[in-house]
Amino acid sequence: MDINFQPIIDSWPFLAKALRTTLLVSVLSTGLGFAIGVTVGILRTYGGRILDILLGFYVDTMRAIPLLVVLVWAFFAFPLVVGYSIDALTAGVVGLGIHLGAYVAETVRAGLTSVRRNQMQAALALGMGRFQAIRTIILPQALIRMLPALGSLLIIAIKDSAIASVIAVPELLRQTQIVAGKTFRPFELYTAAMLVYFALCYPVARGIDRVYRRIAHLGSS
Amino acid sequence: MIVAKLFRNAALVAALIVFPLTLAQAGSEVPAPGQSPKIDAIKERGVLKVAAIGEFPWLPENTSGSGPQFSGPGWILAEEYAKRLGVKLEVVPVSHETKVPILATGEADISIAPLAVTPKREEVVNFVVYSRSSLCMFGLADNPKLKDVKTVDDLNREDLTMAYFTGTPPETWAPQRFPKIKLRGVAGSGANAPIEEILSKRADIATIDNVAWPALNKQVPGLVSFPPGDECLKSNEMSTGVGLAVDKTDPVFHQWLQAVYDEMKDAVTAEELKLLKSSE
Repeated sequence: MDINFQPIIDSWPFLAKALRTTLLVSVLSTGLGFAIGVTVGILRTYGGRILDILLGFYVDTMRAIPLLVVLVWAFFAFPLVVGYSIDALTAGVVGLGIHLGAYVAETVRAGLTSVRRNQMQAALALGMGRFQAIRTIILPQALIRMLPALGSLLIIAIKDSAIASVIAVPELLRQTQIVAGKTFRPFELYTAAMLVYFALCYPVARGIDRVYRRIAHLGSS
Repeated sequence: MIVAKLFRNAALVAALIVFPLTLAQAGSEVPAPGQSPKIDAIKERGVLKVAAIGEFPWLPENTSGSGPQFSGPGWILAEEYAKRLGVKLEVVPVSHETKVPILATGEADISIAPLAVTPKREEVVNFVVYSRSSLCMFGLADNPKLKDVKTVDDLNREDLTMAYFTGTPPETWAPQRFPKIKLRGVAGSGANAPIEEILSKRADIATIDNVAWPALNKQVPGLVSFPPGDECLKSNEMSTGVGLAVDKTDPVFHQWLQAVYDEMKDAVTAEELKLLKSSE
C-alpha cells in the first residue's frame, strides 16, 4: 500500500478550520449539557416529588433515544414545529447539549445523594438556607466525587461531536470525509482524524484523573 | 420592388430571431412581487440559501482553505441566481442523506448538491437539469474474480459483491440491472464512489459516475473499469440527467431558475468541460 500524506498537507487550513468547529461544538454542547445537567440534577434531588417526576421523564426520554435521532429531529423536525429554521451548527449544539444534559443530571443526582443527609440537616440547624447549604457544603463535596464520571462525559461530548457530521455540521470528521472523497485517500485522512481525536481526548482523560487524585480526599466525609 | 421584398424578408427574419430571444429574456426576469412566495421570501431575507455538498465535476468543494467554497456548474448558477435577485448567497452544508429532504424544511431555497434525476425524486422536487451522467463499475485489477469479466453484463454473477452509497440512484437501479449480484449499501463518505469498500476488499466492484472515473483512475492505481478504459466515458448504464432541485410548492420560482439556466447554458457547459479537462 502506498501512503501519501500530501492531501493532508494541501488541505491543512481547511482541516484546521474543521478542528476549530469541532472544539466549538464540543465546548458549547458541553457548556449547555452541564448547565442543564447540574440544574436538573439539583432540582430532582431537592425540588420535590412533582419536579422529580417531570424532570425524570426528560432524563429517561433522552436516555431512551439515540443521539443520532435527536440530532436529525432537531435539524429537520424542530423547525417545522416552531416555524423557525435553525442552522446545522445550532441544531448540533442544542441536540448534543440536551442529550448530554440527561446523563450529567443523573451523575449530579448520584453525587448529591452520596453526601450524607445529616450534613444538610446540620447546615439547616446552623441557620443556613437550603440553597446556601447546597452551594457551600453539599455541592463542593459532591462535585469532587462526580469528577471522574463528569470527566468521562466531557470526553464523550468531544467524541460525540463527530456524530453531528450526519446533519452536515462542518466539523473534523465531515471535512475529513470531504477531503478523503476528493483525493481518494481514506487511509491517510481517517488515520489523521483518529489521531487528532486521540490528541484531544487523551490529555483531558489524564488531566481529570490527575486532578481527581489530588483532590479526592476533599470529597470524603 | 425587389428592394422592398428584400427588406420585408429581412424584417421577417429579424423578427423570428428577436422574438424568441425577447421571450427568453422575459422568462429570466425576476418575477414581480406577489408572483412567487419563495422569491419574495428570499428578497425579504436578503439571502439565497443553497444546500450544498461537493461532487466532482458539478460542484467540487475547495479544500485549500481559501477562495470560494465551491466551483463548477452548480456554483456558477447559484451565484447568478443570487446576483439577479440582488441578495447574498449562503451555503447550507448538507450530507447525501439530507440533500433532498432539506428542501421540505425550508432551511434551503435550492439544493445545488448535484442530483441525479430519478422518478422517486421527481415526485417531491422539481429539477433544473444542467448535465448528464451515467455509471461505470470499477474494481481492483488484480481481483481474480474479475479476470474473466469483459463486459458489464459479465458482472451479473452470484459470487460478486457490488458496493454503492445508500440513498443514491444505484440503490434502485442495481437490483434490476444485476439481479444475481450481492449488493452492499454503505453510508455516503463524501467521495464520488465507495472506494474504501474496494480497497478493503469488502466488495468486488462499486459504481462511479462515468465523468469521475478518470480522476479516480489517476489517483488510485491498480483499478479497472467496466466498460473498460475510455469506453467508461461513453457508458450508457443508468444514463440520467443531473441538476439542482427546488421544492415543488412554487412553480414560478422553478420556471425562473430554468429560464436563467437556459440563458446561461453555454457558460455552464463550458465550466463543466473546464473542470473535466483540468482533472486529466
